[in-house]
Amino acid sequence: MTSVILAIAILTAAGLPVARWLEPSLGWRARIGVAFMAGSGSATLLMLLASLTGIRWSLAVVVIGLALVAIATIPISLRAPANDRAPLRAHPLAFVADAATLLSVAGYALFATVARPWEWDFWAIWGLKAKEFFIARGVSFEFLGRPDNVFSHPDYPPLVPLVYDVVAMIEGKWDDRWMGAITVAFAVAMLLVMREELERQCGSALVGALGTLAISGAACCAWVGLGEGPLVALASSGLLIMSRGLRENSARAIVAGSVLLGLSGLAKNEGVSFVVAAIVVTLVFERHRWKLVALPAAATVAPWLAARLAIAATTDVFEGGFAARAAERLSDPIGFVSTLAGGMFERPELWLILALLVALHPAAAKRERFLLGVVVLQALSYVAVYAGTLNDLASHVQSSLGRVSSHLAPLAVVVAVLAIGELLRHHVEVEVEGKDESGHEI
Amino acid sequence: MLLFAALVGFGLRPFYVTFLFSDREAWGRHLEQFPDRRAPGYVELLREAGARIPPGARVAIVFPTLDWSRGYSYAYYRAQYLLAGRVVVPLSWFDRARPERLSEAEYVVVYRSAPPAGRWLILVRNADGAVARRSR
Repeated sequence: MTSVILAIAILTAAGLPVARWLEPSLGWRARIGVAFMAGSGSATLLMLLASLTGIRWSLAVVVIGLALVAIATIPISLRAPANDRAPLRAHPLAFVADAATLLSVAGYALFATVARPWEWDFWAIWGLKAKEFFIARGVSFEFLGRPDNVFSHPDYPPLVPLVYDVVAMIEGKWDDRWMGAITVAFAVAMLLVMREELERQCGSALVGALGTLAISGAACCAWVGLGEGPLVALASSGLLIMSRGLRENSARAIVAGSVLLGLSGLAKNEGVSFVVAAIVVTLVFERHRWKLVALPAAATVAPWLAARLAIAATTDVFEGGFAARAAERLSDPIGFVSTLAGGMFERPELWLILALLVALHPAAAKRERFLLGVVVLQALSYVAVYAGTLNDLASHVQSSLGRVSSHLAPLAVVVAVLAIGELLRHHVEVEVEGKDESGHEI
Repeated sequence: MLLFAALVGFGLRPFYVTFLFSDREAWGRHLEQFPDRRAPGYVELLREAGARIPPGARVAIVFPTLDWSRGYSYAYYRAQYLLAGRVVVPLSWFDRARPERLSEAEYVVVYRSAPPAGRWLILVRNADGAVARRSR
């Protein structure tokens, strides 16, 4: 357990200057959350580049590499303008909501670490790769390229296995007993970002605290040890910061969001489709900002995409006649939709609430058109994958719909909370406008 | 406000809060054994194999079934994970059994099955099976 705690502390410390450099106006909570994510991303890119250049991993290589990144970032992070936002007034109920979130996260932390990660995909994909890479002291392209390993998905990005390898290098051997703590760390990092950003974007500590409590269930990913938790944390945090940047015309926030979104592409392939969705929606609504949205994310994920091309790792669902399969399935739209509907959606109630909010308050929802647009495009990309999947549709839906819908559930809650925050702010402004200076109604 | 209350209510996972007060030792035991619940003794046999098979060696797994979706995929991936650093040769694939690939293996882990044909030197044997090296 000491090794995993030390790994989380090292990654967070290494990411602190990067987080401050990326977005200096982040409050302390979001900065810690972004720092862990940025530290994980830095370690991933360092270890990937070391493997590509033939440098054998060791604890010294990783720690010195991270220290160099941090030291190089400190001067430019200190030059960035400081956070001069006035703190919001605390609300007693916000403390209660925060305490409830803390309680829920504490329970989740105990659950996720009660045993070594037990999911099939941990020991057949994420943990397997981490263990093989640790033994090889590098990303083993020989392992990834072996035809017998096709089911361990050589095309899956490396962030999660490589963060496990940081733990293993600190431990000095492979021991998966406490690896579930990494999933918890990503959930906590995400909730710290959510707490800060929702408070900031809604202008209310209470809405921020209650909104974070509402997101906690979706952030604390039930698939312990897999890529889902880190993907959800990185993509949701990146998109929320990016949407503020687009709304407030803040280039730093857009870039910071874009980097986190790029890191989500290093966690799971679905992160790359999040990047594409964000670029497309920006081209539609904020055309002049598209480069800020696209370039940092593309630069972040590019080293892995290049390595992937080099080993010719393809994604199985897209193999051999994807378009023909999609056309055939979509020629029976009722059958296709009813098969999708037969799957287990993650938290359908949250989607119903979001739909109600959009229907009842289109103006508040319109303000969040960027996030809503990304959610819709990402959902459509999943539908397209199901339409063209190489696998039997029903079994593919049964085995994955819960997980892929969990990618979008936190964003549904975020959009709903932001819309509610806007409505409440509007409601308060109307009330204030209805009183004279002495507070009497006019 | 009603929608906000509903959002918070449905957003929470009560399971995590109740988990604080549950029997965590029992949960731990259950989840530790969860992946291998249908193949008792298999993990222990693989651990024995891990102590005897050198890194880089090619190992085949002989399992009671060669049906990929009815157990062999589990046997194969579990062996890959627990014998990481060795090359596990699958004797079955999703489309059909491939017992002929046994010829590629230098070592074999036999779990609750008849030993394969050929000359093998038993390295360890227990109630659930054996680990053997090809004898030249």
